[in-house]
Amino acid sequence: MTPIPLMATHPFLAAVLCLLGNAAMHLLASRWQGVSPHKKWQDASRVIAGLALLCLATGLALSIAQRRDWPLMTAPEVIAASAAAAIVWRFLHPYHGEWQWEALCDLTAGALAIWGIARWPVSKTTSVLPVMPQSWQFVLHLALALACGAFIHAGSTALACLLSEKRAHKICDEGSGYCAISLGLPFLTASLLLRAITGLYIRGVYWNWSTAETWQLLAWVFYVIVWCAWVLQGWYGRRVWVLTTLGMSLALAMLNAI
Amino acid sequence: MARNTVKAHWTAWWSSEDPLDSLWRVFASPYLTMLLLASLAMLICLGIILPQRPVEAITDLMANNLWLTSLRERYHNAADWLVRLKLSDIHRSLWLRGILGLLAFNLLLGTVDLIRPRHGWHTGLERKVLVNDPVLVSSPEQVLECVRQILHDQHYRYLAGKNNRLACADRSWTGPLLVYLGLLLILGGLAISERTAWWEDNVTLRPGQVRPLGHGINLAVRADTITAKIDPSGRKANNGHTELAFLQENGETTRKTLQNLTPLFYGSLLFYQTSTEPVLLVQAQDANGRNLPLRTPETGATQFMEVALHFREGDTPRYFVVLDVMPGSQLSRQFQQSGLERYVLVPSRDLSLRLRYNPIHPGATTPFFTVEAFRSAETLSFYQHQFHTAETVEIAGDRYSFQPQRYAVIKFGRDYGLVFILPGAVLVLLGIILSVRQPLKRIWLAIQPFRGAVNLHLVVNAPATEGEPPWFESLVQDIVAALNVEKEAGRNHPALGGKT
Repeated sequence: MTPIPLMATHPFLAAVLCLLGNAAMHLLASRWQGVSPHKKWQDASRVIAGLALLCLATGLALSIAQRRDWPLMTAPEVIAASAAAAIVWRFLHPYHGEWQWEALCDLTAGALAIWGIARWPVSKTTSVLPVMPQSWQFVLHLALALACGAFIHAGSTALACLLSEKRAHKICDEGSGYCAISLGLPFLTASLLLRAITGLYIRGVYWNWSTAETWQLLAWVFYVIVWCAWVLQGWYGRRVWVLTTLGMSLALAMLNAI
Repeated sequence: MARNTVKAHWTAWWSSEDPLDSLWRVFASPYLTMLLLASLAMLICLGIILPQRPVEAITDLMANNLWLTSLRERYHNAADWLVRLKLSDIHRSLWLRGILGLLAFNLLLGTVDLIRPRHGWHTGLERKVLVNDPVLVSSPEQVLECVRQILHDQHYRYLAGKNNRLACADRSWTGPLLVYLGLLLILGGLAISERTAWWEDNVTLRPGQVRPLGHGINLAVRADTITAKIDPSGRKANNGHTELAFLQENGETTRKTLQNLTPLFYGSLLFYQTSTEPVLLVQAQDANGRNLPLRTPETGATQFMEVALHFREGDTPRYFVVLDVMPGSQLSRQFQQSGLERYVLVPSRDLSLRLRYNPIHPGATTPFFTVEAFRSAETLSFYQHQFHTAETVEIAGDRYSFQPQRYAVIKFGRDYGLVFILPGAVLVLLGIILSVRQPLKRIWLAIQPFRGAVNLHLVVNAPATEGEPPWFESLVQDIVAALNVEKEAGRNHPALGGKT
């Protein structure tokens, strides 16, 4: 497989610029207009985030077109897809705290996109299992990218809530970080289940303690602990924010292990 | 603050009057679930950080010794501790089994508690709200009935307790129950797999070869036809198939086709074809037509009239050990010859043959074999020849016949644990999806006549430090409005056994 030319990364660079610009806008607008800026600033922020999402989608489409293969077959594509998923989840589960800290969501998504670019060019196809059909691998990676996006988004909003509470003693929405459990955990469970079924179907082994599998299992166990705390013990607020912020590192480790 | 300490939790859980009930409460607690899951996460972390014994080393003593030597070179004295504490073999260690066993026990009790929550009444740690009624003149039963009606309207499940003075109500408990049941099924399936599952790996079958399955099963398989389509690009083909005949004492029972990388079910057995590989049958005869005895390095001193040489397509060595001493930096040591090369020794002629399989390359039309003959300890061959179909050649006055065939590499076994593990995983997924939208809402109620009034105590499963959950506040407001009473927080009912 020939290395993908740098052109595929151009839209990703544009997405990074959009996200960094959005983060800067959040910080500057908060300084000029206080913690609750005018609605036009909020609309502008949403438009820029949407633009970043469009750029990431274009970059992924370009990469796929150049490889002439199934999408999300390579680690950088999965990382970029995770950044895109984080933005999508942000639209669905917006942050309801001090406006300036929303910059953290932009910064984490931007950092993911930069990481994806840093792992370019792609010279070989990621192989979860040596002979896994590409359609299975695509579904598996899609679920993983959606889960990681949810964990990253939940982690950044939880961190924003923690900082917001510490600096201004302002209580965020208690449901911040909820996205990790409501979206991330089901997608991660689905990804693990698919991986096990695929392994069983192809080789008769549903688990083989590979690096990628082990990191995913670790992240899954961690988020099941968060699930227990949230659903069974009724934890919410600061305790869950701390846990979901810590969970971000596991999401990054999972992406690194692909 | 003291309320948050482990000691305070323990005091609330433990009652010397009823140790069995206290033990139940401790082992069924979601806190214990979280603790055990955290221990499991820590163990998995150790498995990532510390070098783990590879599968190759488990099944091979020589590879195991090599791996241990490399571990000692890297970790010196700490290596002995790692091995002694089974930390170099975490995935098969007692640590992991112990944690999973405890988790299964905890989940089992937790499941019972989810279905019939009767042991939460005694907890004294969670937030309590006292609804005092100095005005309303009604019997405790009437108050409880009124509360029951409110809870019923809000789709709570109401479970009456002792003396009709205690009750529990909960909602959205199906999600957590499915997760608990799913996890129990997975853990049960893993235990069944460990105790009863067996697999026969890397079984080679030549055309016509019969292989008894063993393991007390009165069944054998015979490979009738083995085919493989060669990819013109030169890559290994994945679309080979083998026609298997299943044999019993009274003859052939059925016939099935085994595809590469697709499972085949027969009875309770699973069959997989890993690959189809080339095999070469070799025979030798002297000038008078008498068979010459042959040997191979693999068969040692035993001599055969015909030998079957198995080749592996691709350049992977036939046998290698990966020493995964440092995570991320794998060291591989290679032994013996490539998978494409095999040797045949002819002791009576002090002769050796090197046979090489040449997979199809771009531009070529068919794979072919090469044969080279060596005398004694010479390193230069005195005879070379290429062939791609069955052929007989003369080497040093003797006739050697080579017959290319294909053989199937299959794997078969039985694992009843799968019947539990996969449905369990699906249940976990369903339970998580169900529960995240509606977290478990559970309250305990206790009613107490007090100085002519009726006190209603409500206890919720939420940490006291975080304040009351919004849904609980709303529910209390509804009850207060319905009963027309005053609300007082932080008082406890003697029947609950909690602290003030």
